[in-house]
Amino acid sequence: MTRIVSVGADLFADAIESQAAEVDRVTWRPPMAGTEADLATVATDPLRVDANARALAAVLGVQAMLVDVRPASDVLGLQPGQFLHAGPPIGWDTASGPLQGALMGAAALEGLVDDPEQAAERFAAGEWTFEPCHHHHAVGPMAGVVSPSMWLFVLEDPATGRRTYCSLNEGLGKVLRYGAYGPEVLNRLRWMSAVLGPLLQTAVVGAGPVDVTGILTQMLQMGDEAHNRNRAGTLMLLRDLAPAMVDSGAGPSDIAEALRFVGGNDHFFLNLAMPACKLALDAARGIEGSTMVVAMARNGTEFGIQVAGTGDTWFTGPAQVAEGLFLGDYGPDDANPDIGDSAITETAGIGGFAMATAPAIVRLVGGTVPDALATSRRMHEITLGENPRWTIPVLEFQGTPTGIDVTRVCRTGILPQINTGMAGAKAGVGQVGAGLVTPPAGIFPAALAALAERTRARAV
Amino acid sequence: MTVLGARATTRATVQASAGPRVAPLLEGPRRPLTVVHRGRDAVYLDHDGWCLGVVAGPATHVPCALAVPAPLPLDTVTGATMGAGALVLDGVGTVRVGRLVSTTVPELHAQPASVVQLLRTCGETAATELGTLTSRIATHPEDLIGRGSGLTPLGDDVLAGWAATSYALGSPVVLPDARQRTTLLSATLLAYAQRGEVLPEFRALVVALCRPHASDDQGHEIADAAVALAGVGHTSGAGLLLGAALRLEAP
Amino acid sequence: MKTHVELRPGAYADSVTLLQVSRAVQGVEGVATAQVAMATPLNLEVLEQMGFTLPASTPNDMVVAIRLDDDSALDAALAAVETALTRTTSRDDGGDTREPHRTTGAALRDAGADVLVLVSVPGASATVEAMDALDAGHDVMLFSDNVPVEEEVALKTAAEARGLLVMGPDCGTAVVDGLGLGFANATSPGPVGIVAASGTGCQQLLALLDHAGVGVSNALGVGGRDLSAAVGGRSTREALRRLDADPAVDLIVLVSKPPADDVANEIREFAGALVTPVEIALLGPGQPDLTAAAERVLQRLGHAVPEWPVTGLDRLDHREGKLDHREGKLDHREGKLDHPEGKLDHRKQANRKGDLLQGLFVGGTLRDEAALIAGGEHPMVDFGADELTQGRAHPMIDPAIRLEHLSRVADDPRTGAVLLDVVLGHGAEPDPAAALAPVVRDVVTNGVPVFVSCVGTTGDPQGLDAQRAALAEAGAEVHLSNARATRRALELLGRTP
Repeated sequence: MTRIVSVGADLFADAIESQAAEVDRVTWRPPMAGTEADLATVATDPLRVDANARALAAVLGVQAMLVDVRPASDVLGLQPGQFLHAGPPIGWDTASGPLQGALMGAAALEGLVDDPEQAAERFAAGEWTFEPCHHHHAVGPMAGVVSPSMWLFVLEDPATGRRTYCSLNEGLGKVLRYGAYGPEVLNRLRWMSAVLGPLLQTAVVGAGPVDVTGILTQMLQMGDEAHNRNRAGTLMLLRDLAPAMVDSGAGPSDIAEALRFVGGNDHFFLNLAMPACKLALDAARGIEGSTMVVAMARNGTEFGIQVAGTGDTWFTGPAQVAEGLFLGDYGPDDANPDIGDSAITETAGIGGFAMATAPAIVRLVGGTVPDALATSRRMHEITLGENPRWTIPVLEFQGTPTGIDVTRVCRTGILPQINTGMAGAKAGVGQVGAGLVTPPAGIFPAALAALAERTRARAV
Repeated sequence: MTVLGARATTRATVQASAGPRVAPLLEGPRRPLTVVHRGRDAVYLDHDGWCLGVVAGPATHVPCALAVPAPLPLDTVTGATMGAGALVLDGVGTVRVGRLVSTTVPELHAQPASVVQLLRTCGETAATELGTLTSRIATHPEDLIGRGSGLTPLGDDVLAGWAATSYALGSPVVLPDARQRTTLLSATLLAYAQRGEVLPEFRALVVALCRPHASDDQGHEIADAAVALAGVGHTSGAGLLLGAALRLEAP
Repeated sequence: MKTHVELRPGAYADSVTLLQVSRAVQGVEGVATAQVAMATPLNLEVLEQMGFTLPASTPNDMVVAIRLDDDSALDAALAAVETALTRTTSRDDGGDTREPHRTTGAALRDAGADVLVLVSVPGASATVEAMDALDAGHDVMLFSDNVPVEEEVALKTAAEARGLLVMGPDCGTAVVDGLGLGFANATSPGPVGIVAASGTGCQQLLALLDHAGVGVSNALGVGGRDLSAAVGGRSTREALRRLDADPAVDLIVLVSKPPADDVANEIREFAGALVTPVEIALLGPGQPDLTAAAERVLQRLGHAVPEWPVTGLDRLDHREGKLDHREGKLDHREGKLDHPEGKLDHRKQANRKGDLLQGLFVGGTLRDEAALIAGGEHPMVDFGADELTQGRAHPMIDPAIRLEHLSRVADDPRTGAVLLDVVLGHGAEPDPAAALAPVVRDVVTNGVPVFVSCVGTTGDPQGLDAQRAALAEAGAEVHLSNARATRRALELLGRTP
């Protein structure tokens, strides 16, 4: 017997049931205002279905291996006075506290100024440049500032040789990525470049490449969602690298300090999760006709997305302030708008999209377990498919919702759900809380319009 | 999908689909019916000496039954009353006909040996169990009536498949009244089969056989239909397939 | 006279549901008038005409507008709004607390292989949902209208590539293996298959064949525009192919308004090459009407053609003193009629000088058929046409507009007789005669004869016999055949074509 799926007036679904036939009802709502025509254009684009299938397959087929650790000047060719940052492009004047603070600290780290405070007006004058990490195959958490002397993780997909990069995670508290630039911050960064980076490089080269994708697979079954919670991942990384670190030939106290540093930072693995996600998503870039989101990123002022079928264009709107729980005495007025490239995890189907697998994070962001389950299910409404390797036990091992589809976001009004830490608006304050945030809704109709224009241009 | 649990349904009305022979039985004056067989998803009643069924959820849509899509606690039915377009099942609810379905096999022509072989293969378990009992099916159908166990003994299933296929080929057969020799349900199904009325999986197979023998697609369709039919009941489907094969083999 | 106007951003319900909600609120004591609707431009205009002042809104907002006779009734009225809205959204789902799917594509991930998708969302969004169906390899029925022709072509091109069928856009009626979809009548299984570019055309055939005892298991709609030059009959060909391949179909009927010439020729050629015989009923000037087409079908099947039923007294033709009665006694000495079911005083008929046949239809093809038979001078309105259904429910669901027109037209001195269609079946309102009969009675009592084509099958949920009887009791002459009803009306007016 044919089964009916009915979308629209309940009257007709009722009539079918009264004829002893079964009907599935779709709960339809009008799409985001003004998107109907573009949705129809893109829906009838002959390239779309195949392009999205290829995009999803490309993303799911990537294996991210940690193959090296190298200075940014080396692998990215960053010159003195050149910096990278998280999120879409931005100017000094509109940059928020944490981003400005991080750039100032980085300028001092590179010896361009003695006192970070002196760097502000020189940035304002345009003396030095800063670009999105994403424009250089990199990602960075929070302010995400990268400068030439910083050592970066190097991830590679063995099938294609493509690579992505990310800095090493400094830990919690007063750190550069939250805009702090005091002496202890810079000293720590110098130690990371002088000792930690080289030691990790020796270990990685000695132990052989680390399967970051494989660790992510296991993490998700151990209560990590890879954005706000990376504890199991960090420990698994340590297990993989510790013997080689010990064998590296470095001094025992350096080794001990490095082990303590990594082991004591529950977020250390975030800086591997992020470039692993970027490596996978970059495989879909440039597939004409694909409506899949390949990047979601924030610079503390604006939230931007990039889409597989629209090249390097950023679609941006105001970054939102997260809703959730605050640490200590902090409150919403203390929070900076959303910042960081870490939303690349949600873009790849984990982080907030896998919230159901991390009950501990649910409470941290102020939700309940049923909320978390409902969120993961809701994200399936706006994604192209599932990841067969990254599965969530409590959802009967359903694969994580992968491949955010611009058209489905516009059709349903469901926005991608991001779990995020909140930075203090004042540079250097550090983390003030954690919560849930979404992109500004308007960027999706904008991306849709660009996709529709390309569809029409191709049809001519 | 709507699930009607025992708690919710005592006075609920459900809609059923039915073949054109069954639907009119619900009309007329109200009269009581007795239960002859009962199962988890099906209840079979005696109506005027023949079997009338109500099947729900995943149960097979036998042609002498009203079919309700959602599960019902039919194993609790103790009695029923029928009339004025409604069949009231005590303690469960009222069933009405919401849609008529076709239960009759379409006209069929001779089939190539390869197809008959496929049907035989899918009906293998029945052949093994009945052995030589089927050898005189054309001349001595009574050999098979009531042979086997269960609500529809395997011998009856083979005979039903044979009779329905005969009907489709344009030469309907007349079988003896089996009511004294097998279950009421099975005897009723034999009567229906003689008139070409069958369960949907059997009808789908005949429809697939009817299409012009041209393409791979059609081959797939026949194979899919045969496999689906083989999955009906424990051995019922296999029995029907064997019956069909036997008839198609006959000159 | 308190007024309450409220905007609910993000709230949504379909237009049929909102109609039911509005009615429920209007029924609350102390409520003068009420309207709950989506803030589309058309609805805003209607609300302004009703005297409501509205705040700024977008079409994605729901408006609740209430005017009270009794100010203290506001709470009750608002409570009625809530109750009616929640009643329509909650259903017994057996305790499954999962959120339902929000797009057709998401719903289809869980569905199996043998699925048909029925789309009835507003036309601007229909293509997107329909493409979900085609992308997943399923046939789709598009009840939605106001779909641009370029989108129709794109959908049907995609369907053709995958061997799928698009029934629509603007396809109101289909029957698939006996299951009625949209506005469709209850059928018995049988040897006729219908391919229809017209919903009510299909329904008329179903009704006539049902009366003749001939069943129809499949009636595939193709949408009103399929046989246009732009679309070229793509769905028609696929539908014909499907029915040809169905071994249980002995005869196919293709019914449509006149298509473009080229398309007509191609389709005739295509149909001619099929194994199954095809009766082609392309309605239009000089072509057989639907009833004639049904009779042809019966003849080709070797069936006797029955008398098409009429219920109710045939009208007295007062101008020539002719009588043609079927039931009851007639005493025409003073122009009076005594009928066992009620008296009708035809003295007023002497004042009737009007000679126009006014047709008020809910079915587009029935309207067209009547117009063709009657000729251009007789006004024939289709209340189901696109222009009249923008933002409102179809008249088969909400009879209000037509009833209003009926009263007006009856008062018009040029009106000589009225012709109406009442279309039964799934999806249509449960008791059309209830609202219609009183108005018909008034019209007839005031001297205007009323002819009704009541199109339905014996299995229809409204009860065909009961509907016919109620309308006949109100004084109408009720036919099953729209063509016959039209001809009878013209005959009465002395305007036999």
